[in-house]
Amino acid sequence: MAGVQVGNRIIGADSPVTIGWENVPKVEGGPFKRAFFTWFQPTVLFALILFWYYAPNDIAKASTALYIGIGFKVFLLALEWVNPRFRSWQLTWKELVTDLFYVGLGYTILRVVDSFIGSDAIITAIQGSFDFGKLNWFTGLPLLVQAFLISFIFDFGQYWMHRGMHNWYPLWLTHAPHHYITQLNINKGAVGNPVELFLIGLGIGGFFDFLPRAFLLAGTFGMAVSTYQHINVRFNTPAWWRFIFNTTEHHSVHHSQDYEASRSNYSGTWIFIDRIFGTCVDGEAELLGMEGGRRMSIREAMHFPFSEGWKSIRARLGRRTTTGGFDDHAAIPAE
Amino acid sequence: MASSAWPESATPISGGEQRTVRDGGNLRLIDWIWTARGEVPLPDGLSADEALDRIEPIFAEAPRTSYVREAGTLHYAKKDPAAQDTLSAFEKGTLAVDVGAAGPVVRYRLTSRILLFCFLLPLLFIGFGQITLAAGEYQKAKAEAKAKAEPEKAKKDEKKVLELHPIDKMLGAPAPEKPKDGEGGSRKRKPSATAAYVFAGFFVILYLVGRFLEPWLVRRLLRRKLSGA
Repeated sequence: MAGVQVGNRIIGADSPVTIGWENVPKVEGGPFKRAFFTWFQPTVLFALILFWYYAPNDIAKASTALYIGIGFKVFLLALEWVNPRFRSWQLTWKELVTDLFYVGLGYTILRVVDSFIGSDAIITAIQGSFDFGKLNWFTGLPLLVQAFLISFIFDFGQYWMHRGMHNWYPLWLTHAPHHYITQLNINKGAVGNPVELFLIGLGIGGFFDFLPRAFLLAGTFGMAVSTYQHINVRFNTPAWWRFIFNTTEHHSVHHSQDYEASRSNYSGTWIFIDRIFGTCVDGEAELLGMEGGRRMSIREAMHFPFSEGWKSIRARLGRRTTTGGFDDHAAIPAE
Repeated sequence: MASSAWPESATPISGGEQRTVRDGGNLRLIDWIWTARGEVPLPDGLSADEALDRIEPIFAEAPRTSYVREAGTLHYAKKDPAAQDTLSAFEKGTLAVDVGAAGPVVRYRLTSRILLFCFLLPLLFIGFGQITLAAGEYQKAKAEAKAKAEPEKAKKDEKKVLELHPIDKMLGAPAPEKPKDGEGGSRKRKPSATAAYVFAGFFVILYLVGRFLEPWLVRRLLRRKLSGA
């Protein structure tokens, strides 16, 4: 496979990757279907922004956001059946059970762990120790600017954590199980080792104070943009959207079986962060995963970072032992 | 990556019982949880070998599947089957041509780890719900003890009244609510086991769906293959 040169890198040498928006297929069908899958994403985003901007205080609550989020995901699951990007990514019963198991972990036991050792708990402890409250630098700004800052500060941190996971072996061990998914579906973002899910949720946003409504507006970017990272729906996403926001096309490149392609598109919401740091690759891929598309079981995903980490430590210690323990002198041949 | 190498974990049926499918022994009372059993009639005039010839591609063409055929019986095992594998929910199984009440049939017994896992998930999530409540009680007691120890600091943490930017006022966004008495400065939610119980309910429904859907899909697949479709 020849691959395509993108910047200094050759993308698609190990596994097929489509590079360039002009080569990505468009939605096929009648005028209504094409219009729907062209305007759906921007319409939902702007409708939600307007809703959270103007909703009365007794409606603008986290519980409302939760119900809208669940309803939206169910709707997107239906869209996966109506207009799949790839038939080879169709949701099966087993995939649905597996995905919901990980989603369930995030809503339950991981939330408990987070309340003890998550970034908000750590930040509250730091603030308590040094006797300072939240920094109110941003509370005087317009709501949409505050919402952008909440989303951007978190995504900027996530970009570097994610990039770190692809470049530092101990962090990679926690992230690797997520890369064993072989298809994208709406809940696949939750699939992975719980240690990774904890690490990727760390952020410094808790140091700052924002208006409660700004959090709900920021959540809109998460729901109406980031959710599409792992969706099996073919959209005619507008060019401006693809320039600013992460898309399922970008994220399929990131999950490609091609090694170089997988080292791109690290951000969760704002793909322009990848553009700034030169890690953005515009395109899409169908063949996803690791080891030629081996689907990792839940059991293996749970122990992978620890069992692989232990194997690596043993291999390293073993090497040292065979070369004379901790003595760096080269062994002298017997003859 | 099909091969005829017999997987260590699945022992072939021996001796005279080669044409029967193991019944699961004493586990039979509970193994319906993770086992699909059934039979599909053979089309008229199809021999046992021809029937298995038609079924064999299901295993020969599936990645990470090993199988063996012997005397009218086919055993298979899958390791990390692909998501789109038609039998991905059933990692092990035996299919044998046998004599049914109305003529020859393919009788099968397939086992599924994901069905068992899904059956147990409601219990796991009820457990998570209990842990959430226990953790909430612990944190509440700790916070109360801290508030008693440092009453002045708790008073200082009271929430400030926040105001909208003039642009937002002009555009008509509702003003932030004033904090109610006793609300303090905390945005923390009250620990609740509801999410865990809702997920437990989801998995009960998913188990019931899967217990009927997956065996039905197996039966449909075998019927199609045997009819030569």
